[in-house]
Amino acid sequence: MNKPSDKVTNLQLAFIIISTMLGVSMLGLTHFTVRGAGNAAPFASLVGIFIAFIGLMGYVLIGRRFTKDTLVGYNESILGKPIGRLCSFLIVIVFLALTGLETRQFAEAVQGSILPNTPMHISIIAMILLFATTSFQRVDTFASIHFFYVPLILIPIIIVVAPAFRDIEIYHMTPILGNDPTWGGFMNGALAVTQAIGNFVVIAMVIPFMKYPKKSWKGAVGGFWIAGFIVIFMTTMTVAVFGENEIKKMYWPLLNLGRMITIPGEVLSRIDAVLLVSWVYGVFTTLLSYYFLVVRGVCGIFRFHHYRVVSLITAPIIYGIAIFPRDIYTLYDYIRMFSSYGVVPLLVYPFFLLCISIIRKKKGGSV
Amino acid sequence: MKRIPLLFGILLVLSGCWDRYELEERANLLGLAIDVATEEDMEKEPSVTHKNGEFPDREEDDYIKLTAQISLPGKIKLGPEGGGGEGSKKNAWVLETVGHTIKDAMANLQQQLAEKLYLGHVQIIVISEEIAEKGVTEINDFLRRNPEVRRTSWMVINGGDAKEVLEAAPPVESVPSLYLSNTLDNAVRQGKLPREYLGKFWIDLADIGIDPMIPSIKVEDKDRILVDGMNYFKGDRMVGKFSPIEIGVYMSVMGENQGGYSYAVKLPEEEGIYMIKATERDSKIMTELKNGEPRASIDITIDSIIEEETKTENLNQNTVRKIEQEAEEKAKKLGDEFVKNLQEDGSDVFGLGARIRAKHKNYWNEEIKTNDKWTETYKEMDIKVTYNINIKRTGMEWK
Amino acid sequence: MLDTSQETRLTTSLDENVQTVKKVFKNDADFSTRSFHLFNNIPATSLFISSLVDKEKINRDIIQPLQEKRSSNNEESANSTKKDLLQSLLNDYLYFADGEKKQDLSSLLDGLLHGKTVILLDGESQYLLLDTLKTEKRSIEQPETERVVRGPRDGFIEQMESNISLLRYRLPVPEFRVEPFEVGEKTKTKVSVCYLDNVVSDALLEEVIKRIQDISIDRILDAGYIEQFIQDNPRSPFPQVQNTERPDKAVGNILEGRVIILVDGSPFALIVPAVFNQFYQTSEDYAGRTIIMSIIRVIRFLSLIFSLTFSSLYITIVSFHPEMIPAQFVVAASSGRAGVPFPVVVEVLLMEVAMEILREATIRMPQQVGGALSIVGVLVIGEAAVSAGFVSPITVVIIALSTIGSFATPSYNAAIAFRLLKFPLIILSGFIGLLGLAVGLMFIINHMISLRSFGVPYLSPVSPWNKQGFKDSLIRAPLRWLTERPAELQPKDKVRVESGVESGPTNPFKRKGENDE
Repeated sequence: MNKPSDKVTNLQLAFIIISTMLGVSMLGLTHFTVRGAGNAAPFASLVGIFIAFIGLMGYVLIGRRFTKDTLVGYNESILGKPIGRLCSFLIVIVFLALTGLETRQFAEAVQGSILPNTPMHISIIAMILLFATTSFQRVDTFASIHFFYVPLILIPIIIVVAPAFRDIEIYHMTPILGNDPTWGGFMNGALAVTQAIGNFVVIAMVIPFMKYPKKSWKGAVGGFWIAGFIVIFMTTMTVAVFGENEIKKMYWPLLNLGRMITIPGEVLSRIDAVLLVSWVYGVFTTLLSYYFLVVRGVCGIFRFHHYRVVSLITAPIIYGIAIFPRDIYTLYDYIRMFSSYGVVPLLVYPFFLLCISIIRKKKGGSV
Repeated sequence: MKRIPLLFGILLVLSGCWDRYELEERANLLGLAIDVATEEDMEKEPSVTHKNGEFPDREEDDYIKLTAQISLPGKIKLGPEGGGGEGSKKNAWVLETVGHTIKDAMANLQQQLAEKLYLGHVQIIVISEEIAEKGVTEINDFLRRNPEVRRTSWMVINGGDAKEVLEAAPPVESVPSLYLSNTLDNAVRQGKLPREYLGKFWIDLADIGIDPMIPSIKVEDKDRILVDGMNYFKGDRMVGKFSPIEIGVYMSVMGENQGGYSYAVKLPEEEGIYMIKATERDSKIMTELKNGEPRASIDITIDSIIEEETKTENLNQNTVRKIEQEAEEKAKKLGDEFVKNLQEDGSDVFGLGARIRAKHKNYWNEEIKTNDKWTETYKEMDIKVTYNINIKRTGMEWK
Repeated sequence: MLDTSQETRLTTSLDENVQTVKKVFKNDADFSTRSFHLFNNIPATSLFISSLVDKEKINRDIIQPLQEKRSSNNEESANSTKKDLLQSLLNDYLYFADGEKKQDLSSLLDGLLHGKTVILLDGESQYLLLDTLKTEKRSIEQPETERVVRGPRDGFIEQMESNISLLRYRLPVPEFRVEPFEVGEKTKTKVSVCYLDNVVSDALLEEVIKRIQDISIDRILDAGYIEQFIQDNPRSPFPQVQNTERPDKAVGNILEGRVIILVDGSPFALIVPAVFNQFYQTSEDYAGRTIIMSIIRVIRFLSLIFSLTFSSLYITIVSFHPEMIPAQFVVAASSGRAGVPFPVVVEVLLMEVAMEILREATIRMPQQVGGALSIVGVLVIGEAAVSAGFVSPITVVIIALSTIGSFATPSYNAAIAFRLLKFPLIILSGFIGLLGLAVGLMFIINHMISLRSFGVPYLSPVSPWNKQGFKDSLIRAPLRWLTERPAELQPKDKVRVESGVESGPTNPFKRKGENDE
């Protein structure tokens, strides 16, 4: 377990961040950004990404201070056992809920686009089976899985999105700061991005397993900006092609972008299905990260090491959460709720921890 | 633990496959035609989505006649022995239903068919002028919501009944709709038609400060179609039509490439008539505010070639320069007229409004804001078109 | 009787000793004894199992020198060494590379069963064991399963001795170790672990040896038995141990820091640890040109993917997403299907099963019949099935492509794993289409990522990423760039060579004063 090869490298950390950030929200994110920020959506994404970046730095900094502890570990050593455990527990609950809700969102998108008559439960169960049967025993296997899927996610996106260049209209994008933007709307759009990509919090569970936890910022920052660039790229392309009014009408703008494109050679006359497959991979890696946090978190809190047992017990709970929302609107309400009151505070949380740890003069073991 | 995949498998086997429809179980709609239905037609309407006479919307003359072309599986042979021969009429089945809305008509159609209606291969949606003049928002709602419909299929307007188009039977292609959509696709490749397919149409329809347009077609001899220009809209209503040569003008204004149209030029004091063809188009659309009024100037550069010279034989550098000048003048006249027509109809197909909105947002937000206001401003607007035509080569002949 | 042989010691009486051994073998047809007089005076008996020994050798090299009447001075010397007659026999009279002096019954029986000849002397409780083993041997031929266009033509055979000699011949360095083991309670099969002492990782070697010593079974009849016992995950469909018939491949792997396991009686050597990459590579790849071989590797890889996914992709597209294929094709394809009674998924399953049956049947057939059968099979299944309206012609094309794809893989065990995995994929995509295909593939990928062979991740060097390793995986970089051993094996000596070529090519015809540039 402690051989050097079992450790997560910086490159793998970067890929974990990329594939976690690009997830379920990929298809629909632009809609929410545009709804808030209008055609300033690309710029709003940039702002949102910057906000998230601050959070990322928080986790990297605290990871440097506590090189041997996971989120659960330093929660306890900084805040003391009872409060620390409570905090960890709340974080786990947030991610548990998000896992369920995003699984449902995935199922909704599948049903809305490719399998209109198949019961949603099938796609929910298939997805839950996928991440629940993955082994969480070794962190490096988890890292390898992320690593492997990243090209499978990125290449189709680029293939699908790049041909859209010829349909770009510059007047859809300018002025970059938005046409008649309101401050609130703009920030709403920006925060939609922050919420969607704030899930990189998972790295707090991975950093202690790295080869050089002190240097984790390299991988974290690199991965974050690659993923950030892709988010901006997708937003820009969809906005440039569709314009804000058209996007406001769509649930899944990126999917529609895929449906606009014909590839030369006419082998496949429609490639949105290809995009969907890559999106399924993105969803899987994101949910795997959430689930990783949940399972590892629970095990950390209760000092339990049978990850398999925990993951099998958690799976039905997630299924329950996934089928809970009545319809697609309530589903999005719940998701917005959990990500704005769950994920966004988590971005401020590490700074809070850092302050307390400095005040209480706590320091993790250094390598 | 190990039983979970097993249970999952059993679940799959027991419940069957919900979305699997084999090719022959799908009624592949290849073309749709939408006409206005008369009262007479409506009498045949079955009660599928509502009881007879109880449709919530009681507005008169809001009926739709939907004609669908479905490919007939067994008729078309695979491989070399298939294809031509007896013409394509027998390979496709043209069905007609009526309804209050598109979905209503679709539901009526489905009620009569064994196979599941499948819209994934709709190549062409023809609407009649009448429908287009009434507004297309209602029609599009169903098409936009349905995940099967391609955004790359064509929506076109036929002067007469839309149904006629689907009944045209080209002798070469086995299915008529495929031939029609190929006609349009290839027109785009040859630079004879802007890429205004369904997806683009919807985008333009949704955008503020730009009006959409769609190709106009005409059935010739009941077996082929003629690309007869473009129909332009104001908002979601069709207001007019321009001719094929004006498509060329439009494309040069937009700087859309693959130049395709040829234009006949005659020098004033000489006999000869020259056909010149645009090959490369480039344009700069500039908008500015002068004294609080928007103005647009469009600089167009066209590279072209001489394709034919008749009645004379004295092509040289000098004449080529003269031809360029003459062509520029003619083109300017054509362009001005074209723009004037559009302005009169209040249809901003160039997206000047969108450009002004993008560039002068303060002006737009204070003065314009809505599409209606823009149309008014647009009608009064000063639009200047300048042409710069370069003849690059003259084909294989020196003279 | 056999149980007590451990403790039983021989007595000094020749007759008693012979009787003891005879009791063990009862009246086995091939158990022979021959009595004679040593140097014409001391009664002696030689025992051997006639089916295992080289009789000529016994006659010529044992009986003849021992029966010869010796001159007096010989007798003197015999007398002088009376104390240790057996030793003097070994030292002076018998010309054997390996002869031993032993005294317990168990090693006597063991020796007999391994083709040794036992010489018992009257008045001695010790005996001589002389190696006279002769087994039937195949000549060294080109390996059937791994043919190459360019490369050595010799292959391993059943006898381990010859196999080791093939390895030694290619690897004449003192660091090359061949460590012997014996596995199988009844078969007592000899197993050798071969490695380069200064390259292989100690931890890996320890693990290999531990796993081999762990094996508890009565028989080892082929290297495959060993493979079953030492692999990491017996439930996985993927091979985690590679086997080869080619000594050059084995040596190549030893040099990379892997361990080779030779099993007596099996012409296959096992290579551990094995990663997925190895299964679509051949030893020939290193002999050809970089670009061509890289392309060929990519083609092999694609054909593997093809054989796995092609038929399920077809189902997905035709039954679930016909919008993906051009309308012209849909119209044509639906005509092809007119009259076919089954859904595409059933059609594909039927044809795939038929293909598997055909393949299995032709493998076991004698070669002459096999050829005829496959022609019949192709004719019947292809032509007749289509004209009978049983399947659509496009399905036949798809199945043919996916079957051919699996034959392009050099490694049979990897190819068959992929070919059988396509059945669950077909069923999954028959139920939920594209989602099923994607999910099925993800199950496979996730499994492959978590799989390890002797601690080495199965998909390395792709995941976890290793740039040096990637130079020799999906592509094959020029040999002069492959200066490092695969890092995932953690070899002691990471560097293969400092640099591929020392100073690069120069132009021998260069004129004086002219610059290279």
